Amino acid sequence: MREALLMGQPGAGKSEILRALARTARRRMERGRAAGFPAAGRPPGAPGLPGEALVLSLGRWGRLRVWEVPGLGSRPLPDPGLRWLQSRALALAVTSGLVLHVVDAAAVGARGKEALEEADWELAAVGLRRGDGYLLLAAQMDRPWAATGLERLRRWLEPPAVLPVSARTGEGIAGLLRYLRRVRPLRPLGSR
Amino acid sequence: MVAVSFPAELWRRVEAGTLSPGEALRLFRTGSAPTAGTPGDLSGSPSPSRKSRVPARTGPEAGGEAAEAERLRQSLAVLAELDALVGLEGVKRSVREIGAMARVQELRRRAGLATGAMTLHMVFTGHPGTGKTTVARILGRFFQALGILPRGHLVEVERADLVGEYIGHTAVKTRETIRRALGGVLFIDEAYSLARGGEKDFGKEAIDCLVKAAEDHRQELLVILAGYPAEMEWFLVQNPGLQSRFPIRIHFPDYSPAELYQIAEQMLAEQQYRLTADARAYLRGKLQGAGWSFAGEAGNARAVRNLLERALRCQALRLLDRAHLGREDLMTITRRDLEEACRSW
Repeated sequence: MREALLMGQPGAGKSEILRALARTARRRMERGRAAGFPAAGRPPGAPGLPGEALVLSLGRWGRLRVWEVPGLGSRPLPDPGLRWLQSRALALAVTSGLVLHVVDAAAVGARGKEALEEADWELAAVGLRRGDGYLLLAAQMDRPWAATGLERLRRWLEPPAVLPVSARTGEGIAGLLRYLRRVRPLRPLGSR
Repeated sequence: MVAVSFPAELWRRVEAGTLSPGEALRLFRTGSAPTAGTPGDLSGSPSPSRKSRVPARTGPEAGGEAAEAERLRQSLAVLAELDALVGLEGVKRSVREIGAMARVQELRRRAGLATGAMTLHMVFTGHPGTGKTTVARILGRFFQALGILPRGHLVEVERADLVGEYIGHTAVKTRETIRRALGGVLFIDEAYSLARGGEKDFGKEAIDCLVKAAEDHRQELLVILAGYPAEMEWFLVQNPGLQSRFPIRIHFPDYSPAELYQIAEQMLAEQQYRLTADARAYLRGKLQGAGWSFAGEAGNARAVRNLLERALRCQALRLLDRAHLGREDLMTITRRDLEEACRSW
């Protein structure tokens, strides 16, 4: 199963996008083994599995699992299980995973570069090298200053692809779903 | 024990909590192995293959270049803050030009090339609420990031902070203020008030003291004289010595109604409030309305902030008798709130 990772800062809007995506796809979210998550390899006693995931069928290309990576802040998270998930997601982000980089465009519009964490800049740098394996989701587009933020994100992060979305109004969610359904096997970084 | 290869080591560090995700991605991008011996070190030393891929920089120029790159990064971050301000396009361009010129002069000086004596003292003209103090604060940090000012802090003063009450008192007060501002920006608001009192007023002594300090501490102090355009013209004509010592003039124009509206939205968004569609239309109308003026001496952005603060109080009053309040209620400013605020203007 291929992986699509909703990655970004805490509070960027990842969970809302995942739920809006499930609503638009008219699919239930899956949990644990039903979502195909391998239970092996977790540290003992750690929760270490994403709460829910959206599993999409891509026909002859198999299935795509869309899940939310615990927020990438400026400091390591206190929960070892969530850190375990982050580390798996980072390994996937630079190899075969599809990175859906979620950034709060309204915050960037209102607060400028202060609203971006190091992880945002670095994920965008990964995006430049991944090409097809990266999509910037400019989230919270229904809020004031989001249009300014979107323009700044285009200029500052120079993403190969960007999609403005709003989980509240549904803007861009159907487009994201179409994009995900067209996902083909991706090349990891460094491969030819 | 099996050696862990790069980049698996980075992800293991994230899992161990000794590296943030951003740091891990940066090290992955730069091809650097995590430093050995950091707290919670898992493997003891970075893998030898990584060491050979990242040649270590040595020599005296390595630190200098890194410091210069860091300075540039910081100055660009400060400029981004300037860019985030609404409007003020001419001001932004002037600040960039001055900063660029100052940086090149500083780099030329370090490279042993001829440099002209650059005086950075400035005169800011503009009505209240046009962003003079905000830009002065950013300017201080910009020059600090560029390595031109050692501290880059802002000391904002007015006549009362400089002028004393008896003979000899003014020089002491002014010198003390200058001492506080050394290494940063001394911002003198309504500077013309120093020259208003006539021949016997102590304000003249303060001006003389300031002019001397502006000359003596040119390398470590930026003095900004600020005030209304017409009064500043008068002030500079009255004191010809100031004209040559304050060669940079920046004018802050009044905000247009569209810019004031944008400022209002920004202020509300920063405080996590939002306007209803009806309230937006009302505010736009008010800002453009003939009977209402926020421009000129009315206070520009400051007048808008005052109006919004009143509107927030009106919203709080409207919600006073409601027992159950949701997140939306607490965030929403209605047309009625704005109307009430305008009535009590």
